[in-house]
Amino acid sequence: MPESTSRNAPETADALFDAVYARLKAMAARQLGARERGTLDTTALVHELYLRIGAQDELKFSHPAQFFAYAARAMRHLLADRARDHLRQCAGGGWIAVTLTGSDGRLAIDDAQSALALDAALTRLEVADTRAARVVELRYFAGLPLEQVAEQLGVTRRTADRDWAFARAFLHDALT
Amino acid sequence: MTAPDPPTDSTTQNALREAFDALLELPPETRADWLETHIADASLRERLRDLLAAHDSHGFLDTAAGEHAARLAARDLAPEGLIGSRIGAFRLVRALGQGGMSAVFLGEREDADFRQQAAIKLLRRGLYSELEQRLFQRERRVLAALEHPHIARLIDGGVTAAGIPYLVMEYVDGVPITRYADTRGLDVRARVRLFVDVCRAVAEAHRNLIVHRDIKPSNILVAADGTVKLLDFGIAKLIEEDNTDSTGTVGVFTPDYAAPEQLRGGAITTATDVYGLGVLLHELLLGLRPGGTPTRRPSSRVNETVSGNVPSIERARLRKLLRGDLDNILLKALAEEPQRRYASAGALADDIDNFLSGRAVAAHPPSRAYRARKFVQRHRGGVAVTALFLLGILTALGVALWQANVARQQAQRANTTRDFLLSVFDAASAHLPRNQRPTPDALVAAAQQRLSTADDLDASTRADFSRTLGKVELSLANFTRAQTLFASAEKLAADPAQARSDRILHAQALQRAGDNAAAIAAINAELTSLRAQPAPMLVRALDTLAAAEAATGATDSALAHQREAATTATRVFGKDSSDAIAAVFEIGNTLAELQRYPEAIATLTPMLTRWRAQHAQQDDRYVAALGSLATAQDGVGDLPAAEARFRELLALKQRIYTAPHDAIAATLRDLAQIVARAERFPEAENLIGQALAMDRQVFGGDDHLEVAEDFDARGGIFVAQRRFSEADADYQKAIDICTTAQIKNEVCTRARNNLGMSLYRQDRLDEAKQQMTLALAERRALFGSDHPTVAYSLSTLANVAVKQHDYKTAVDDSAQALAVLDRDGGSASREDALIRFGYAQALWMTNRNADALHEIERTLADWQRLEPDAKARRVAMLVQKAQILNDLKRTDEARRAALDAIAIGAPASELAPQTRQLLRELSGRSDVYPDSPSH
Repeated sequence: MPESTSRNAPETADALFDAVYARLKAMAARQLGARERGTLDTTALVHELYLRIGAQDELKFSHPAQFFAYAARAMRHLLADRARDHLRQCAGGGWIAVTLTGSDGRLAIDDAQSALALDAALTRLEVADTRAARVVELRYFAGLPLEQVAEQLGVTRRTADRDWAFARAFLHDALT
Repeated sequence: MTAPDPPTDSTTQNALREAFDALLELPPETRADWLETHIADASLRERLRDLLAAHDSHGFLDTAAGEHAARLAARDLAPEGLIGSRIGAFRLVRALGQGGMSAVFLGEREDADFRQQAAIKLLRRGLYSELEQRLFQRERRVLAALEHPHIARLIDGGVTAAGIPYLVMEYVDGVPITRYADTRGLDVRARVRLFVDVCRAVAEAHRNLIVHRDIKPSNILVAADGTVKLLDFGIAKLIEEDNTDSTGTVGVFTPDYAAPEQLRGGAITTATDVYGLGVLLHELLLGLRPGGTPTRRPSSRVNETVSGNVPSIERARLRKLLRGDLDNILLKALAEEPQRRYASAGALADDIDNFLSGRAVAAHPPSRAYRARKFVQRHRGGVAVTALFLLGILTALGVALWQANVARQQAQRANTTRDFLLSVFDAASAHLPRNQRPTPDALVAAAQQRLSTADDLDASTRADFSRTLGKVELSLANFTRAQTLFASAEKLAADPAQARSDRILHAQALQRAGDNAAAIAAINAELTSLRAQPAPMLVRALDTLAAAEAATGATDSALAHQREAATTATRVFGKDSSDAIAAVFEIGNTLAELQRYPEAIATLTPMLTRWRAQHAQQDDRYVAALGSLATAQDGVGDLPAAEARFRELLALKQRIYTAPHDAIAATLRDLAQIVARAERFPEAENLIGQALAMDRQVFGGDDHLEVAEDFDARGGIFVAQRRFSEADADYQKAIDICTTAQIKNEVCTRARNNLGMSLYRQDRLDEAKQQMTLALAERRALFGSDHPTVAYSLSTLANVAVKQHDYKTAVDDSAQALAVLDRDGGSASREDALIRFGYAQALWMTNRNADALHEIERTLADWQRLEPDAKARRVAMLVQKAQILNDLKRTDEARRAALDAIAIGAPASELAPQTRQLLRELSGRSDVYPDSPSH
């Protein structure tokens, strides 16, 4: 996504998403790559991205919900992209295969496969139960607490809880 | 993936979802029955069963997305990707190895005249919180203090811009100790000798309360010349400290070499390393690891050794060599219970030495139980004492310290006790709610009480406690009690070095109490011995000496000693350690105090930057240095920078202290003066009003130095607004406070000289001269003749003399003032430029035009550099230059100077009528700056 495009207010939702995603990806890569931490607080990441984007004045969101929705999708795509890259590089052999002989490497391959499977299953869930899929995006990929997820989606906390329970079962079942 | 196709039909989906929601409302054990009775459709029932199973299982979504992403990103930090990048001063050349937590690279630093190689270790986990940053800094400082020929030296360390913590270590070009022994075909005694070097290195660490926790051949390299180097010190401990999550202490260790307590997650002590050393010795001697605590004599396992591992030793001969002493040593080192092992690596090394020199070894079954019992008895007292006043605070402290406190070796216990106590006092103020904090006084009183009745404590423990309590009293400004405690610690001290340390502490208490002469004498008596072996105590001694010298006016010597302290601190603590930086702060503080502002700025600015870069805590040392920098920036006329510094300081102090506090008031006052200089008078008056009110509240009235400072400062703000009667009243009030409270301080003489300046501006010249002469005499008496304030007094007197047309006196006073400033190194400040301006005027008045021209040109150059925005004064200087040139008959140049002055474009309202008239005359332009500007 060229820089000039993101400076103009994108017209369509997809264009907006592409612009956000390109930017988030760069940021997240910097964040994850640079800090190299076993666990990363997704909420903190997303909030930080939000603050940065807000400060940059390039991409404007009409309300936070819009932002979180995009951030969640960005994170989802980021994970899937990474997983694909990872599997591609493993197949390509070379030195990466050597460094992957440890338990960490094995874990990463499992992770990559699961991440791709999750992405596919989530696409199916979107068809079967759109709202539940959105709950997963906000809860899991944007790292929002269910309380806030409910708020963003305009549903009760109880509904968000049920959506999450169903979606989680649906996706875990798809991954086994 | 074998997931069944999801239902696509929306009715089916709705039924599925409804049933699932209903199921989750039920108690788990009734769900299966409900399914059978309520769901007729077999495929829907099957699908619901799968979903319930998935609901109950743990899966991908239970780990945060970020964590998955980070794991997948791990390859980004694969060593190859970092080759060629720069870490600190080093460029990464190639990977040396990598583990779960870190990667090690060979780094090269190329300077003009040398090339240095180093091993650069990058920690894989970023350090996020301030606490982690502090732990890392502390660990590094400890490592920096570890100097031993058999420990790979720490050269540098820090955090990269990307947030990756790194350590720069001595690069050891060697092979693991076991491979070295095998390839060289070393015999048993040679192997054992090599092993003793390892033990000595570990022992050094134990003395510094560092437990290695990862002793294994790959961490012990032997160079081609046979030098053993122990690597990776303290990292394991650091990493574990980072790992304080709810899952508890996750041990970081190598299972094959780990002690039983590491595997169990039990307490880690120096005995843990003893076990690791035991495994290493076992492997060195037998070519295999013990695989747990041996159940029989190691020598009986000779037959199991992999052939080729011990090529030069025949098995029968080896068995014979090992049987007896080495068997006993191994069994003792590898004992299941930590307390049955050697107390420390040092004890193990001693026993190996016994073996090598044919003496009886200590490892001897019958004595074991006896010694363990003795040990516990010996240490019960120490533990009880600490427990007494740690009640309620203990939880706030790291478990590691507590464990370390139960470490067995005498020296360790001493260190631990001290550290522990000091932590207690930190903890007391930091971790508990305010109303639950024991006051330091209460803690000290309890400890002293306990100490005086503790007949169960041995001498060295009593010495430790006296010393520690002395330090606390020192920090509480109870100098006399501190002296008593240090004196008794010295009497009980275990060795001469310790006694010397106690004498230095005693000297510090003397200095703080104001007995500078006694402090200087006491420290000078120890310096030679201390210099022989640079250690933290030498830094303390030099700093104390410098403080005493500065207080008695021996500034050159004080600065020299502070520089030595800084060099020593760099060597002892490491270049980027906060202690090393703080030692340079002291130099900057002294320079600022001596009003050697440009030097102070040059010294402090890079050090404050480095302090922040190291994420060191913004403690009192940082605050003091920042204050010195602000003062210095103000002194050279960098107003915006100074204001920014003071605002930073104010925010810091408001965070550190609780208002009302005189430290906050002092910064409010400084800020008020800066703001007044920027001519924002209402804001300045508001700030100084706050400062005065706060100081009066803090000191319960007017009779205090700080209140006098406030009045003096407010006087200056009034003078700047030409509100002279209010100013004079404030100055007089400051002088009166000095008299009443019998204060002898710079503020008293300054208030008097300022009163003189105020009178001077009111053209009350005789009164002005009288006050200024008085102030000059007071300053000479207080600071000697070479002090900058003496120069200022002289310069103000010169101003009066000019107005009184006594030009000869004016020239003499100005020249004398400039000479003082030159001698003191304080030239090139704003004040210096103004004095020079006066000097030039006075020279001109006495018809020394050539000299006057020289001085006015230098004045103009300095002024342009120091105060580029002060236009009116610059116009006045240029007019003066034009007048001088005119008198030198250089009329063209004179006109040009006048035109330059006009070109500055200063508002007419800021120029004196006389200046405006001179401008018209000298420039030949009658149209500029008309006398009665039309409105």
